Amino acid sequence: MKKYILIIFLSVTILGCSEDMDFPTEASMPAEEFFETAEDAVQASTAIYAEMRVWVHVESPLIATGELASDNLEKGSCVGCFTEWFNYKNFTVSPDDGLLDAHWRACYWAINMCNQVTTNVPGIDMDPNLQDRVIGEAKVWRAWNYFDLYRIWGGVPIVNQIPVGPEANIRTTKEETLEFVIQDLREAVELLPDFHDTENLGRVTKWSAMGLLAKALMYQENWEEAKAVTDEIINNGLSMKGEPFDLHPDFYEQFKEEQEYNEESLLEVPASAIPNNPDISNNFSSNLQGVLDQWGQGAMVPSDDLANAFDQAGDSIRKAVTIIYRGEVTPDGDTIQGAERLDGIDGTPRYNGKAYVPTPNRFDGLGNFGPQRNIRLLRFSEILLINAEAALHVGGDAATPLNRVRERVNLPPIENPTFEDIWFERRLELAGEQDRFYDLVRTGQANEVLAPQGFDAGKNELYPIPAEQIRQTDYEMEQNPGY
Amino acid sequence: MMKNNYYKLDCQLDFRLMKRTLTFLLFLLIYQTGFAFQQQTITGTVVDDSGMPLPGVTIQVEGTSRGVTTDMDGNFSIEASEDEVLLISFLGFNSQEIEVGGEEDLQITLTENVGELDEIVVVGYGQQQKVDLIAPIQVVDDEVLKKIPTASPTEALQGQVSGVTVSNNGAPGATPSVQIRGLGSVRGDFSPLYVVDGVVTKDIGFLDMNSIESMSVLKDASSAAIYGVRAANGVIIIETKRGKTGKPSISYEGYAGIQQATPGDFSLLNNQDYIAFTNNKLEANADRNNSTFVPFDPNDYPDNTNWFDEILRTAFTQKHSLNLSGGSENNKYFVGLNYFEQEGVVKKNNYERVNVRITDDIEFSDYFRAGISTDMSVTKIDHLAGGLLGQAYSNPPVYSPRNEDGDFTNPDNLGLGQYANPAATLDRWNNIEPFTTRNISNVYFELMPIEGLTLKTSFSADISNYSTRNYARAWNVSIIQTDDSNALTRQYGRQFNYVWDNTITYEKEIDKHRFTVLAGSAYTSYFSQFLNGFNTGVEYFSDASLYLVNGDETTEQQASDGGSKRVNQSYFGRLSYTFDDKYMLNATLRTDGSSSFPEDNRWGTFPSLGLGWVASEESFFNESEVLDYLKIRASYGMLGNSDIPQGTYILPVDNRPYLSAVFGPYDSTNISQGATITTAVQPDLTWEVVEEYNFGFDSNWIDNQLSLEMDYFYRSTKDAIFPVILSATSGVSTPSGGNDRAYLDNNADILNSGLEILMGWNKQVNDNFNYNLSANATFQQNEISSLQTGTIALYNGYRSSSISQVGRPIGEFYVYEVDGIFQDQEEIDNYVDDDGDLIMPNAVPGDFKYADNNGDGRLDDQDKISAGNYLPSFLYGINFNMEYKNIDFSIQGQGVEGVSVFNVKRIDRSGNQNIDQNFYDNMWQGPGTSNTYPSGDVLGGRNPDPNTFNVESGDYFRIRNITLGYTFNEDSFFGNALSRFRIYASATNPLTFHSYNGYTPEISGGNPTNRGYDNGVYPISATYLIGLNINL
Repeated sequence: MKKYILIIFLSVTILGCSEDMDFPTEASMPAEEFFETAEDAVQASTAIYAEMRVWVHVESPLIATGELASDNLEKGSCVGCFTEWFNYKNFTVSPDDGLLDAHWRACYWAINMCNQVTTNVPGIDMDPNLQDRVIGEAKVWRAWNYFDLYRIWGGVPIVNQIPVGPEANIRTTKEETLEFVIQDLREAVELLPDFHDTENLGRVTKWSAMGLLAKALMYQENWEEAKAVTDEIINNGLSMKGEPFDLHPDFYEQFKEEQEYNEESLLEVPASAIPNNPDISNNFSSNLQGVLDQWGQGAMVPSDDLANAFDQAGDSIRKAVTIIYRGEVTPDGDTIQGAERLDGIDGTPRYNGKAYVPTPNRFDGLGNFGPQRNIRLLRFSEILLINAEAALHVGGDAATPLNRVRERVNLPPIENPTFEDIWFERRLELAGEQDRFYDLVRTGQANEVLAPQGFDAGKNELYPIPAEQIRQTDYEMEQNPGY
Repeated sequence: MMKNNYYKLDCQLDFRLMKRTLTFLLFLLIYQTGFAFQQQTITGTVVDDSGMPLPGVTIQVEGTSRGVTTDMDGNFSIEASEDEVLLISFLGFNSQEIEVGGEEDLQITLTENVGELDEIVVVGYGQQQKVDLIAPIQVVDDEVLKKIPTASPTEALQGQVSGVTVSNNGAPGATPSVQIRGLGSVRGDFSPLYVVDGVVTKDIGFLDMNSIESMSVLKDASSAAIYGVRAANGVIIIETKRGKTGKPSISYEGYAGIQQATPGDFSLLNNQDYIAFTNNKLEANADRNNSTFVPFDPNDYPDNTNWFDEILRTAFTQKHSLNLSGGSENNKYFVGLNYFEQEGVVKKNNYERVNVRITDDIEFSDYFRAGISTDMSVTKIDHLAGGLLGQAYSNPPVYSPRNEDGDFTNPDNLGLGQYANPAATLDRWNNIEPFTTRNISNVYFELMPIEGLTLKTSFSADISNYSTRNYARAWNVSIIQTDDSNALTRQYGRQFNYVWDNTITYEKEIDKHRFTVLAGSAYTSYFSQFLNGFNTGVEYFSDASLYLVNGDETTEQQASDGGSKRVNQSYFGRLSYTFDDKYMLNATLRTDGSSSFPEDNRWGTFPSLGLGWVASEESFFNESEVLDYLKIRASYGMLGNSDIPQGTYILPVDNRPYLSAVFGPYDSTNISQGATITTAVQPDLTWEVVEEYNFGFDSNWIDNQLSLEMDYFYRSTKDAIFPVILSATSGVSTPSGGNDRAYLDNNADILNSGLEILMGWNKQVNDNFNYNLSANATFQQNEISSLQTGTIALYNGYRSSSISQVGRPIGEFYVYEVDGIFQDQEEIDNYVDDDGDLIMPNAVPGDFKYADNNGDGRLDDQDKISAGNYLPSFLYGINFNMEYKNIDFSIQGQGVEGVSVFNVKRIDRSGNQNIDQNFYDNMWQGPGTSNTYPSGDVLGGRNPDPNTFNVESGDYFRIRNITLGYTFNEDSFFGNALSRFRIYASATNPLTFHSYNGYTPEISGGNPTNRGYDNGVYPISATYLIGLNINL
């Protein structure tokens, strides 16, 4: 009898053990439940800022493409180390270059994060002002990344929504890419507030968008509008803290941590040093350029040519801030020591002083020296210089804005500036701030200035599309000429 | 009245059941009595060939259900009539048939079976006699496994089983990579499924060799299909030791020995050569970049350190194993206690394990059996210090580990770049209490209501917990070895997996028909969780003070956690049928549901069919004198591979800590949480399906002394999961998938085919001398046979140097073809395309000259060539064993061919890293010095682009093991107390023959599209030991 009961029991168990296989995935939040609330929207915008401070965005790729490939910087670092960086200095970068590939990908990572916001946030039921702000922030960062892509590679695929369609594999023209940047910025200007509360200090504002718009218009050679936008910024603009824009009186202090988001600042990448939090303290820009074997890797250091340029202008203030030599004592009392030799440098080792973080404030944890230094992407002095250049084109007053920049560093005013004067001022004011190479290309000086370094006109104005990116489109994407 | 009603109801039920039972019994009775007359009681004794009584031997009257087993003294008694035949069978002995005749007291001697045909082979959810087997299942017994003194039993399979590729890692306790029959998936996990005591697992690292009776490798789909959706990578069933009927026996096995790394010809440069090499490099680089060359002065670098000498050691290993077993007919028990310790040849890398194993099998009656087994293990692994091997390869030899003050030397001051001092890394490495406890337990009940019918329910649980503490104290050695945080990390994790199997088996033999029917269900659940905590400012007083609560008051403890859950639900059945011992059929069907997949794609069915024909049983074969046995086999089956991470089809929100940002004034520390979506997924993802055909034969020749088995397999994976590369412009990155910007989809077909050969020669020369020689060989091929439209080739590996594309094997190295070295500027200037443009305008003498294979004047992907991959095209093993009087000797050898290895460590450099002697001795040093090796400037120009120079042959032949043993005569010690006393000495991996420039060409790890890259592998070591076997 019992046997049969057991048989029945077993038959039941064989046929009947059905537990539901539909259960929530452990330890993960399903995406369908994201982009539901205002908090989600804000978090998605925050992620963009976090992405921007990673090395692939603002460190070696940006400095190598924008400055090392010019007369401003030399490779630096230890003798025999990272010798592939010479390729930037000598215009021998190949499509297989790792930095280029990393930077291309990084730009589109950030763009994806922006697209997540612009695609998903409009559907969230939330405070319309906050909604506008979040979308505006995403548009500014998307514009910055496309501007970056535009300057390095020319026309690139424009992806501006989720999900991504076939447009992802097709390059637009140079003009179309720049036009997209300008359009995004125009929209952002309408969406963003003049400034944020203290808690949100560092997020982009209407005036960040305006400033970037002015710069993009300059590249578009739309001088009328560039002049109008910079005039508006100069006359009515507010800094990130809500003060009228002005130049910070002390050029040295301007680049120190205490002056972050000051009256001169339009756009910064927020970076911080939180003890024991390597995930947030992950901006290695100062470390890369820090004094070799003292506070970093000593890479991408000012050239003698740059030093001569300062001397030629009689510009001792900006020279001292921009170039710090081994053996010097900084205003904060640090003695620059470190290695005796730098690669590619025949004389005294020297470093980019704008990236220098003084010892008392420096967080040295986890082998990263000075992760808290924000990356200044746009300063008021550049707005003044854009204004001057635009004025010269449209027949306005170029001297006033130019001399405002010169005045701060005790240089005599120039009554009737030429383009060359403005461009030279840009070089001295913005040296080491990832702009020189593009300026040389934009102003048509590249061949003259860079040919001795190996610049090949008709080819080296643009960098090669990374081989990996061409592969991923199954060889559909077109390479830039000459590569 | 009520009571009556109940009674009535009961009665009816009973009556119905009774009626059926009676009918059934009547049938059996008629069936039996039809042949029975004049039964008498036969008694007898069964002994082995040394005269020892054999208990538990089955005596059965042929063609009836009457059967008994022998008692403790080997005696039996059974009812049988004169014309009947008794079948005497016992596991491990040759069966006998004895005609009853007039004899009433039988003396039966069973001989141990040496031929493998009578072997019982463990198959899925049951066992089969080797004679009935159609599938290519190869069994490796414990005697073979135990010869290799390692922690992981799978490591010992290397070279033993045809069709199985094992790549070992020299680190103690590391899991070797095991592949059965090629590579059917481009996904990371291609290891087979292991079934231990009913538990289905991917990791058997916890098992002690001495707990294993045998390992059965189920190679083809017809045998593995019974494991359905998880069997695509093949199945290895591990039969563990259980008690046997007989007097209690105690055995001890133990060994102790040493291990040493075997660098062979490989070494790194000393200080003088290093400076010379670096100067050669700098000169070439200065030439390239028109910068000033200032050589390093060798006199500035008097110190000389061989960093491998600093981190390697002669390591100790030992093992002690005590087994107690025995039992009566009704109760068989086994208790095992094992201790194993292995130091790594790299310092501070250790493995230690204790196992306790208990089993008990109880026969309550003829109808009811039950048993339990439990295996408890505690494992302590001191992991390898992070980054240490890479540091030893790359550090300049020109400084001492410590300076005059006894502090660790800061290599920054050498002016050669920034390096982590390996001695400091090793010193700081502090891994405390890295314990894993694991318990695998099984309980089963078997009910045999009628002859031949077995109902079994079996429940297995696999429970494990691990915890580690890692303490990184503050240090300040150099700019990259600096941290003031005194960081403590604690990790806890647990796993609870269980399997509930229910099966019904019916075995029946009618005349020449013998069949077994199996039906069953399985329910499997996997669950795991982990919790990690982190804090800083934990000061060290003793290990006891290392708790997160003792951290800095100003910092907050941080935690992270995670988990996963997966459920499989399965129904399966099998029919095995043999006619006349000549024709065999084996059919299985399994239906599986897996929660890993979206609801609509959850269920799959996997059938298989096998056919066998024993040709040698046919009458026309009888004349053959040489060929004793021939069985021809053919099979077809389908398998699934559901091993994709749980929830892969669900789009996750990425909220990892690095996505948070800090807003506010410069000194703000308010962290704003960031989160977004960074991945793309395929919502219709389903499993990979393998379809496999197998054709083979088993044969015995020359009085069964020579055996030869061959199998050809054709294995095609349909709907293989293949990453769909999204253009980087999609901005998508998958955090865990290993391949950026890809999502998974079922869009590839992969083909594996091959030939497996197994040969044996067994010779009993005389009473004092016997030997056997066995060899196995495997030829295999792998190919991605198709990709869905729109899916493009997958580049992966170091600098995208591997490609997985249609018509080619998975993960082939795809590199520029080196067409010599530019000897002078003239050669560079002469290397032009049709238009006269320079093909390599930036090259300098001493650089690689890459072939412009498509002749378009540019060097790009279209010029690259395939340079092999890490999957061997040929692998082989040879074993020789002999016994002469008391001496036993064995030697195993094993090798692979057709393997390519990418020597990453030579070129993955950022500055003045050290390099190997072979490179230095052969490098280009001016016109005419070398046309194969470049100048020292391996980082310059296009030299670092992956090329054929980087890809080396990974072929090797290894003496796997040599063992020499001596067994003392029984009466040598303590009278007759010891039934066996053997001592032996062995050498494992003493010699490896290869041409690769590294410690070993064996590179384990990496997923199939990213394998065979050597960027500082753990050296494989040679082990020398002496051991002892004692049986009481």
